[in-house]
Amino acid sequence: MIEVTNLTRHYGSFTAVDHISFSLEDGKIYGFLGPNGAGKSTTMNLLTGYLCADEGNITVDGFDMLEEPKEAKKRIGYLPELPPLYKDMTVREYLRFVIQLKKADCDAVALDHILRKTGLTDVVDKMIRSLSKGFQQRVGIAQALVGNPPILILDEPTVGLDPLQRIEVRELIRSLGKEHTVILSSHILSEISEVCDTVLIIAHGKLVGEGSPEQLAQTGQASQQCSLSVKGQQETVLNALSAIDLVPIGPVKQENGLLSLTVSWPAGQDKREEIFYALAAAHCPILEETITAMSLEQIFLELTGEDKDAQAYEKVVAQLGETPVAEEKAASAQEEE
Amino acid sequence: MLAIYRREVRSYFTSAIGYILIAFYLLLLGIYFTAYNLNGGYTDLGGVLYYTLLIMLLFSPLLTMRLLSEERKQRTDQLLLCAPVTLWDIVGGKYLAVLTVFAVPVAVACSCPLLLAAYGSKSMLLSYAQIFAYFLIGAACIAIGLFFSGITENQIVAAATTFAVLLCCYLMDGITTLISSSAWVALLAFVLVALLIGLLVRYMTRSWRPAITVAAVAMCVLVILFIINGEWMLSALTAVLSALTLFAPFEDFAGGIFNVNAVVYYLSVILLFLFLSVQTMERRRSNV
Repeated sequence: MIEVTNLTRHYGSFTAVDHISFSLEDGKIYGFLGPNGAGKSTTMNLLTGYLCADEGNITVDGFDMLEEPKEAKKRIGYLPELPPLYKDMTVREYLRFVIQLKKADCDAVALDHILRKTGLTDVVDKMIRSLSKGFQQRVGIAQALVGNPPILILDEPTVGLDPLQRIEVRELIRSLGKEHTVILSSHILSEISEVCDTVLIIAHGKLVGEGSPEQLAQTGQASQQCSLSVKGQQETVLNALSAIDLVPIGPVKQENGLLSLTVSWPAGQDKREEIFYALAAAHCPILEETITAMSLEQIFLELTGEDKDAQAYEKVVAQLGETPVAEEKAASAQEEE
Repeated sequence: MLAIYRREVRSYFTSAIGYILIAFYLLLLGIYFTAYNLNGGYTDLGGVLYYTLLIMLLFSPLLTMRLLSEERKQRTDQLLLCAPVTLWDIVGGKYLAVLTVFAVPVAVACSCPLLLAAYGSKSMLLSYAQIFAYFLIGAACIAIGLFFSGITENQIVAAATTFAVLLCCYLMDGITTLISSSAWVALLAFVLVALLIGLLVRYMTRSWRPAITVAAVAMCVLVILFIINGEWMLSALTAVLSALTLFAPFEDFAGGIFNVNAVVYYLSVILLFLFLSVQTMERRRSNV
């Protein structure tokens, strides 16, 4: 259970983390999503006590990071962006050192369990400097698991790994998520949406969005889009569509008698039946029809882009809130449209 | 602290550096001992120890250059700082590890009085007291090296700075006579110090105004004091400089006098530089 209030950190005149507040519950997998330089790593460094915040406070399981750092740090296992490995030790020596350092309750059986979980049993007596990047990353994860801390913070755990290793690490994180609270950071959207229960989007040092991947996908759209492939004359099709108040957005392409276009209508409605009847009446068969929901990528770009529509942004944030006030606001905003 | 201590000691002895430095030290100790005591016939170990003190100028930077700078460079300091250990645990563990490496040649030196006792009468207490003082000076030089290792990521810079500072301390006697020739020189020296303090304030507060204010005030005070009594300034400078002579008190020990003041002085130096090392690490967390 982590509570963060008003966290701020400057590097000189640059504000890396700007009054971020959030609350994390036990047993879920959280994802920090954001562009490079957004402040994800800095937030994680602040959470684990590597850096001191300029303002705000962090409470881990009731222990304040500034006042009782030892208790707070005992509860966290951290894998930083660059795994902190001593290259001149073997894997076994290194993990034994970590056990002693954290004063962890980790006997040979528990260590064996960690080694098996991270797939390190074959390389246990090899020097860390002779391991490949993937294996070094796994040693980093193993180091975070020592002592079975209730909270795991992993900064870009799959960076630099090949696709197979990425899948394995994701599986590992999913299995860890059942017993621990996991905080993950990544800029690979698919990874976050697959693995995480809740996503926190951070950009320019601020928390710009919070919610499950589905929630974000649903509420992020101001409209529903539909791509059509219709067989027929451009004029006929467009006339038929304009009769039901639909105007194509974006370019209309004509290839081999096939018309490709995209229409949109406000969220909450469903115009697919009307399109069917209208085009059927105009004798223009619909050969392909796809509804595109706003993907996490689009949400991400919308929320972190510089030229985002302020109204749309406010709507998203309001809809993500679970208070009745926020829901009312959202409902009235939709009615106004 | 124990975990860090063991790791560091093991690190010195799994890489070549521990063995090479100890071998080098023992070689020089052996040469001086043979020449001075065995061939020269002196029963007193003080001479050998005094001359081998010069080796500390090289030994300390080489031993300590890697201690904290490598942690920063490889980012393994993240492991240490995110673990439930205090900064004193980290600095203390590392310091004791280096002392252990230094203790090996000193332990060998402890066998020298026994060797000499076989050939003539001598005071064991005197010899071991001298070795104890020698160990303390070495410990102080190592503490200085540890501090400078903590202020940079680059090992060479750490080593060079430690060497420069230790060299200044070694030559401080000569420097004192050189610049204590007149009150004007003393004034100049203190003005330089005032300017340095101004720069330090600028670094800590990141703005010029308090820095310039502090420096200006300090310089005014100095000029006023100079006008009132120039000689006072000269004696103040001499006192300050003599406090920086790290190696001079050993002459007392070499001469057979157990100077308790010196012991306290060395212990203070050790504590001061360990404290400064901890502060450097603490500061880095707040102001990267």
